[in-house]
Amino acid sequence: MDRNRAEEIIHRVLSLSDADETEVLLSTSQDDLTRFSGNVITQNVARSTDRLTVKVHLGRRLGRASTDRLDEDSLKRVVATAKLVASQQKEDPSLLPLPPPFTFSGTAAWFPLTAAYGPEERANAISRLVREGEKYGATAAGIFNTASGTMALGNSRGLFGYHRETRAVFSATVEADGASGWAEEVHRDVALVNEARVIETAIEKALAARHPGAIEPGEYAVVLEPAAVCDFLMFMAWESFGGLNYLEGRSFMSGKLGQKVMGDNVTIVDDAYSAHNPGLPFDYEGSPRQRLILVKEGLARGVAHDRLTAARAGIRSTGHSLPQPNTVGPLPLNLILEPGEATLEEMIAATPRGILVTHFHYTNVQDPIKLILTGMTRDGTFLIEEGRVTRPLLNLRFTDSAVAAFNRIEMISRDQVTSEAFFGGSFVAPALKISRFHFTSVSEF
Amino acid sequence: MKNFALNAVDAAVRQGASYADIRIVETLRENLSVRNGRVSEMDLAEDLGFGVRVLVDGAWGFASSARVNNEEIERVAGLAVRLARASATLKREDVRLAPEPAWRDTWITPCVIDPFTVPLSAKMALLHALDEELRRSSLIAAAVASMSFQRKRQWMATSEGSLIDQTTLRSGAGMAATAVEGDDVQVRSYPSSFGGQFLSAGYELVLGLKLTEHATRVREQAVELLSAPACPPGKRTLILESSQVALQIHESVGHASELDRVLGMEANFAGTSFATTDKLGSFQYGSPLVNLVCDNTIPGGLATTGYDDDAVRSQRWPIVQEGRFVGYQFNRELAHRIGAERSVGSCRAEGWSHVPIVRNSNLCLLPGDSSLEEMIAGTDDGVYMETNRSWSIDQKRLNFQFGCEAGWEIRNGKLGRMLKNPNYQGLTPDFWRSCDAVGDAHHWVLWGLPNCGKGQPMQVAEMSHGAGPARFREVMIGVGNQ
Repeated sequence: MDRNRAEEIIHRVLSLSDADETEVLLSTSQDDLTRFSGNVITQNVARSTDRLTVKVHLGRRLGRASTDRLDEDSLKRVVATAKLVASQQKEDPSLLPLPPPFTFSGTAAWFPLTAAYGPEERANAISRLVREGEKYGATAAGIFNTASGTMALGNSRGLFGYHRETRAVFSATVEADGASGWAEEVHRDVALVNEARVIETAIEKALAARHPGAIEPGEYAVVLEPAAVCDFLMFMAWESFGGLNYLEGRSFMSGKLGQKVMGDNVTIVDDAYSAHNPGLPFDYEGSPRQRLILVKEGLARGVAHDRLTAARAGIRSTGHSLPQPNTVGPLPLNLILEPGEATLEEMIAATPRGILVTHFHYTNVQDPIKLILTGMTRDGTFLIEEGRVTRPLLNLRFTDSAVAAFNRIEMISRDQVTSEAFFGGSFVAPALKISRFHFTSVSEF
Repeated sequence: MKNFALNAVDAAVRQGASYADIRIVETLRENLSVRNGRVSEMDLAEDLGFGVRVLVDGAWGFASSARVNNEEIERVAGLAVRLARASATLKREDVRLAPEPAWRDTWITPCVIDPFTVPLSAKMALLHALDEELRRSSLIAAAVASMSFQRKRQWMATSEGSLIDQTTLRSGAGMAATAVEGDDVQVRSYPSSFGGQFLSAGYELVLGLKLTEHATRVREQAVELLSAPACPPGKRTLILESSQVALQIHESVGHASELDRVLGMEANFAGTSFATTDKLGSFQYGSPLVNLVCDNTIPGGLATTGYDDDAVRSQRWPIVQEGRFVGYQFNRELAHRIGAERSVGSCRAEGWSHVPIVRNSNLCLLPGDSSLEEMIAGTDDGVYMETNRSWSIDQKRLNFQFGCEAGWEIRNGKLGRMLKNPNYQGLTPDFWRSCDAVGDAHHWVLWGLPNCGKGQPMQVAEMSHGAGPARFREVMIGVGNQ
């Protein structure tokens, strides 16, 4: 939906509301995805969705309602419903007035080629992968996804913001002789998706992963490829870098601002303006998103805030609000772990004995404050001996503190990769070499 | 809507589809929660749209739209056909759908009290009261009480002549208290974690949970956990409370028995399965006490409907019989891959905008003959664990590690001190084979799981798992608690 049409709908909704204050959030998306497995296309979908959410204040009472219908009757109905909801709430003394207009910089997140990419082009890329894999007797599964979306936010105090973005993902899992390899590229611009690199990497990994052997669980040096590192960033974002968890003492960052929490070589920022991973330039309250330093050279420097948590902390919002109100508080959605200077090959060469991990599966939190995570390796886990990858391994389960692990980082790669986060957003990470990483059990494949 | 549905099928067939179906779905959701004295959710959301699925040249295409009008039908049907033609450029064989009668039917979830008729003010008052009670300790950093309700009406028409109008209703409620002291965070929930209990039912579910009677205990146990010792590591006997057994079923049997995973269709995301087709009928999945049945006709089940999204009538069928692996969950497309003549009806989509895929059904552990008290009395050295806190399992559903909110030591047949951070790890067949006691019908609960993620683009589905408590021997517990 273009800016003019979005603005027109939002102004119409605002004109229909006689509440003390009214906010309108209008989001649209077109999500096209071709899915394949066993060397054939199994699913080919085009999803077109709209969502209009109206929030009203009646004094200090708040109501919210939403619809996916944009006709006049539906606009009237959703406003009336929001008012009805508000009328049955208790007064909330902490309810903040809606914010006034803001200024923000746009981000380069929209690429027309991505928005127009068709099913034939996606099928062609998948066919190339399948043909290449067949040369080695391999089968491929995965997705080619192109999507576009818009978000517009307006309120009765004159605030209006509009953002649009695209996304392209080519993700492939290749299986050969019961072993699997994986590769993925995520970009705003489909032209940047290096199809050949995805194809080559996934096949190479699958072939190298064949006939894995067991290794005893225990403490090992690890070289984590960027997608594995992104799992750690995702849980830091969810459990640790949000202002609400921080204020409630549920984060390892709580009470530690200015103190050492990670190794000197660790700097983590949230940056919606990064060329690597441009994101939404304003948050769901209408605050401009700030480039936020979370950890600087190992020192805890800040956490993400919305207006409510910022007020409690006595500072200004950093522009990281989710739609208000919510149960999880503000979150950083564009984390970047700053790069180092090594190459992946140099990290492997510097490892006398260790394990190379492609990525993790089903990582989850065991202890939120120490950020003890557990998860399984998948799609290519290899033993490193004397600085060389020597043989594939059966998949291992790790159980370790991500914070403690980020205090044991020995090398950081200069290349970074963007990965989508399960909880939303997308993160940019380099590869890491970490000492004494805890693997606690092993699987059978 | 029925005429609209029939027009859509006609439009797809006219544009070249050999098979077509349409699902028009209208959903009303109410999500309410109070957190730390503030309303944190109070949404009333409506949603209407349609999805058209077609077979052209033996391959699938699917397109959807929120704009329910005749012009859009033509566009969306044409787009689905274009997508199917693109799919057909990379196929080995034509998609074959197992036969199913053409159904013309109406189906509605039975309920006693329509939750949308209960005044919002009354629901909010209950949530505020629960939140207040949960916070009556300075050690409680976060309290949350929540309810959610969903009514979904779906009109489905197929080019084979099915025309089905079904309305499902789901209700849910729960609460949790999070206690914090120093670098320790502990949580207790009721009746289960991650939102509580959910059933295909009306507001009678909320009333039956007797939430106010449990709020004080939830708070006290969250605080008590802060000073409890950590669950010590080692191989010991494990007794799980029924909601954790339900999650164990979901992760280690439910997903493992989805035939699309077995055949590699989820390999790039949710994963595959160790339960390969060569194991069907012979593999010892668990001990002889383990009997697991899918039942999409069971009252209250979140996957209980009249028909699935393949227009297949809901059924009941076994997955594990006396420990032996005997069945899969599958759809019309995959039936022939295991020689089945008919789909079992495990095909569902999240709303109108997603394509139907194979989904977990209401998979239940049939009751055994043990009471929880007997299980504890028969344990010399073990741990009793309640309420899931964390879950992780590998992509073939073999190696799992689950954490619970609270544990209690068992010594010489008696429950002892409370233990914090209890968890356990195992390999699926070894674990189920170590089961030597299954809870009786008195302890059996049908638990709703409303947040199962699968597929790309990811879809969320709802299903239930019935279980009583169960006992497992020689399980590795307390991983990472050294």
